[in-house]
Amino acid sequence: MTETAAEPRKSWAALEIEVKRTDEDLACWLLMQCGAQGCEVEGLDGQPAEGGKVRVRATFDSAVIAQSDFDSIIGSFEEYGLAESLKTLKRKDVPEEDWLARWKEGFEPFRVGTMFIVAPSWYHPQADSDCAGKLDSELVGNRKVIYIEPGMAFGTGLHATTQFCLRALESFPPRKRILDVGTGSGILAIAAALLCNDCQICAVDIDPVAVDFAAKDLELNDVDGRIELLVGSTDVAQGRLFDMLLSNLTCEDIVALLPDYARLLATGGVVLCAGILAEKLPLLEKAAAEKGFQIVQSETIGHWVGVVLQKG
Amino acid sequence: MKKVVGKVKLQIQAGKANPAPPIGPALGQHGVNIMQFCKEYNAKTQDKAGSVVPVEITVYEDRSFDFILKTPPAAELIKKAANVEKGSAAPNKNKVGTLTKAKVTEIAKVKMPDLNATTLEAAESMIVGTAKNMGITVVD
Repeated sequence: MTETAAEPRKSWAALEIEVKRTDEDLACWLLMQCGAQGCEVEGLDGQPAEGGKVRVRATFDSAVIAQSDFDSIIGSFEEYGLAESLKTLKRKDVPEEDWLARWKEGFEPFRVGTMFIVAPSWYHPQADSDCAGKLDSELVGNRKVIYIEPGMAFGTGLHATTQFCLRALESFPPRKRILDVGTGSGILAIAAALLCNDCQICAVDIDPVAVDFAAKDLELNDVDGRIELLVGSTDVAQGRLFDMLLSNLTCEDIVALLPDYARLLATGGVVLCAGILAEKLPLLEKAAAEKGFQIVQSETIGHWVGVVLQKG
Repeated sequence: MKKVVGKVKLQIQAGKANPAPPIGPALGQHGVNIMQFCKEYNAKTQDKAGSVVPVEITVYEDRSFDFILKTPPAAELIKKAANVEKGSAAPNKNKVGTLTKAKVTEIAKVKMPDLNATTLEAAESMIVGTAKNMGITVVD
């Protein structure tokens, strides 16, 4: 496998502090009230499982912690009776790394449905790696190959929800005008482009990092000139009309976007929806009925459900 | 039974998991598919958006994982129940809100599975302590 890590682009500021195990909840909450985006809690060597101390590492979504946030943290820990812990407070930097490197070592090409093979980028014929261009021809057969750089964007093809959408493109072939909402790695837009040469495809994601990854994947699959890639949500496509929407998000996101979908879809158009936990399906069923959509296909995969909606 | 190779405890915002720190480095060191965890966590917590939902992730030797969601921090539940923006800067002098005993019991029941308390009364007493530290007075 070739080295595929992106150049370090950013670093995060972090704070570490040791607190009593019984105070970990409070310490994390205080740190997050003062600007931390999340905390990791680690046991400390030699400390008993009950009682004892833990190390809390809080990270901030910036390279430095604002002095006002830092002052708030000191003040909060003092006010909430955790002043003693402040003696262990340390600042740290967390430089960006390829945190997926270890996981990637086990990522091999695999089939999805009857039409696709998803392969990591290092199998691409032009990759600088030992396995470049060495996809097993028996595995591939006459399937379309989607090359994906597994990175910090949703959509490696391994998840049940992505696989539902890829399979659904077999029973609901790509239509003329397609919008991929929350494109992540771009995998669904790429699949649609590989199946349909003259479809007009627009892919959007609110996360600029995902859009950067998607741009690379589009290029890797030689479909970059055929897919319009934009940062944003349905808002960036307002005023346009589509025949198919690809929507692998969460149930709540899809329900919230249904009014937009109803406006963006031509009559008879379909939405391929995934990312719905089975227990939340009734929420989508109710919202879809209210907005004039019919469920024309559904599939349960473990605790996930994939649904195809059609606009009446 | 699969061998456990690591446990990771995180406190993160419901519905907003992404591969940035703290999630990326914490799970990446164990070879976990970070994006898959984020997808699953977000799907399960999206309806609690705006809350911190702690999560404990168990990683197995084949790099698969499962996770359990924990109850939100007591201070956050108290803040919401008392309808205050934040705790008091000087809790002994300035009170910022009140909390009924009924609400204390309600919060204690929610937090019970994650508290080191064997009785509801003990859990209630912990909630009252946290409320006092926040400058919130408990009333009948």
